[in-house]
Amino acid sequence: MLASTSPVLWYATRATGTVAMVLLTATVILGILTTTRAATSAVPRFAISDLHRRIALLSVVFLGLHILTAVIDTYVPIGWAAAVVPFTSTYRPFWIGLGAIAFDLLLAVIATSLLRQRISVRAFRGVHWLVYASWPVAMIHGIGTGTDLRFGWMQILVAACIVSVLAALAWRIRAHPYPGGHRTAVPPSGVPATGHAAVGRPATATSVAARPEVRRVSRAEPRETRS
Amino acid sequence: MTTLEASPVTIRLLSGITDPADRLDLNGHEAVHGSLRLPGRRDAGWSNRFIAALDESGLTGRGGAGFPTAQKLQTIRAQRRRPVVVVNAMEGEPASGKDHFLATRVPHLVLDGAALMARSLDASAVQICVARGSRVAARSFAAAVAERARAGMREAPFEVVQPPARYVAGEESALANWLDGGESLPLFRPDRPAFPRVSGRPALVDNAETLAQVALIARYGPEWFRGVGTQEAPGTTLVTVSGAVRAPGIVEVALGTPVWSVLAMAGVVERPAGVLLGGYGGTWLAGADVATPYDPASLGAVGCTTGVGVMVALPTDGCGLAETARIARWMAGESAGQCGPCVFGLPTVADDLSLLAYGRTRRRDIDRLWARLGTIDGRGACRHPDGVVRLVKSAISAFAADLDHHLHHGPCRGANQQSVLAFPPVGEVVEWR
Amino acid sequence: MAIARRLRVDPVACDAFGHCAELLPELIRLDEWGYPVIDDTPIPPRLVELAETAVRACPRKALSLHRVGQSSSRNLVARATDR
Repeated sequence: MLASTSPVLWYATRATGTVAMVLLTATVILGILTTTRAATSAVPRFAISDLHRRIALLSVVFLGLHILTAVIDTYVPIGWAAAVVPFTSTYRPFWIGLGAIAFDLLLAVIATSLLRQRISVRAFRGVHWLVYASWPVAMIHGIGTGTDLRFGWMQILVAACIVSVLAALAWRIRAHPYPGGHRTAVPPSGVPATGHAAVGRPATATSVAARPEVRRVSRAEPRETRS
Repeated sequence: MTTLEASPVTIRLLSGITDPADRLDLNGHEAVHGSLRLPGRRDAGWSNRFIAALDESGLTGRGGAGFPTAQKLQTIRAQRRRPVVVVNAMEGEPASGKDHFLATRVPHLVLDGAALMARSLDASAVQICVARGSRVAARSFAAAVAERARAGMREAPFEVVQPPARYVAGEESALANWLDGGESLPLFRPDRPAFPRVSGRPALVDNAETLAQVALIARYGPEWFRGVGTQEAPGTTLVTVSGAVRAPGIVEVALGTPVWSVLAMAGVVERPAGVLLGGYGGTWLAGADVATPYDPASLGAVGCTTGVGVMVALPTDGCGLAETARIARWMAGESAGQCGPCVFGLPTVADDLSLLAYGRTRRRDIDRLWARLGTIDGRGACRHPDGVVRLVKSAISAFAADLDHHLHHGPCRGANQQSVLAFPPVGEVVEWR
Repeated sequence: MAIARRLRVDPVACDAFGHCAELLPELIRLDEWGYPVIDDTPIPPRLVELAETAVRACPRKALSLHRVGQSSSRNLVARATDR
């Protein structure tokens, strides 16, 4: 059983934890950007999506190192089980427990991501939503038990992570007021597909701000053969 | 509101109905057509003969697609699992009233057809699908089913069900989807088997009129059936005639009858500016072509389709472009909302048409509309957008002169005429289940 | 000998992300509403790998490759929509 103690492990845990936090934050933001179909001329949409996947992978690596170094380090008693079973750690059970929760949720996301081509879209997307629980819990874990939070630069970093995710969410909700799903889509330029209303007679305009729900022309003579 | 004009030899489905309010109960039905004698449950010989008779008759589906009925039956029969039979009496087409008519006047003819199909397939059940809101039709079928049970007719179990009254709800896969407990939304079935499934069982989905024809063929034989109509399109068909006619209603005509004669049966007064054939996803027949025989081949030669039996006569002072704009608007609202090209494309086309009919358009707007139609066509999961594309293209062609007028002088006077089309009011809440 | 294949998009699953058209503009373009218009002729051998990438990249798994011989659009019997 791997066990030792050394300041290197301690610093490694803190460092990899910080990097994982930043990378996970970036992953979440890129995921949100993918949904908004945002793109620049230099970074097309498939690249945003691809970047999201690559940075997710990178963050998992750093997260793995963070957990590994924390468990191996005997200076602080955190066992292997404590990494996945919440609140079973001897050391700061609550805050470490939150980390375990965040990790568990992420494990589900990782599993479905690896199996994405084999499982249904609904299963994949359903589980993927867990990141909206995992990321905040991970952030709280970091704030609660992060050793470096006493430093100003760390406080700024954490604040920046939180603010940027909130900003991305706000933009996504504002620009796309209806939920994603198989019945909606965004025209590529964000401009409504049609603009003008019908001139003259009763035919009403389509409103494309929401899903194109077309109101019916109600010159209806009730159908004669219907009850 | 119905007329029952037909030449004597072509009163077949409408046999026994002398008054529009008539309804044939089981006794009345048997008085006209004799009683239905179903063979034993596993009589393979009968089944083969039955299918051969259908094949020889050349009956094609009366629900709009015109697929050979015997071939469809064969496909289902070739499956291993016990199938179900689905009677499609949904009649989502607003301009059509024939299925409702059959349901409320001669339900037993439809049920006979369903029973025959079920027996030949050894089907486990028959689902009779009537649109929600059509209470009279549903009650009529239910009463007929009860009558048959009381009379001790040993047939596959019938059940009357009522899916939502949406235009696309009558599409085969949408119907199967709903019967399976889902929503009445069409499925994307590119190269899956040609038939839908209900609870894993292959489903034979046939239009109510098709089944009524089957009941007649089983009694009177394929040769009798082919006695009227054309070589490629034998038999009769029900047509709902409306618009600029004195006596709108449902007529039974032999296929191949000139369109003008059919309109005459409904009391057309003057040559129409155009005739809408096949419903809101069908085609416009130009006024000049009203002498065309009403069968797929002849209509195909002038760029039209029969589709489901519908004819709406456009009055001479009407505007085909305005009517098409209204149809496009309504059809856009009836989209299942699953596929982008339909959800976004149809309202755009409707906007283009509205502008064309009521505003000012230029030639390049027409070119753009034509390109849009080409883009939308075939890119949905079902045929709904294709129908609109076909309709609009046929309107541009059939009303070419009117189009020219609109381009150069703006809306014609007909654009502000009262519409001759009916658009069922649908509630604000869209229900699919 | 490679078997010729075609691209196909499931229009119900497609949610106009547009990744496919970016990766394979030779065969896929977007209509004015952001949805893919697929060239469903057999894929040239030099583009097959890119096509496979595009299929994997679709966030809704709407794009797929299928063999020539299967119908690329709805097959003829399925056209019989009885109403």
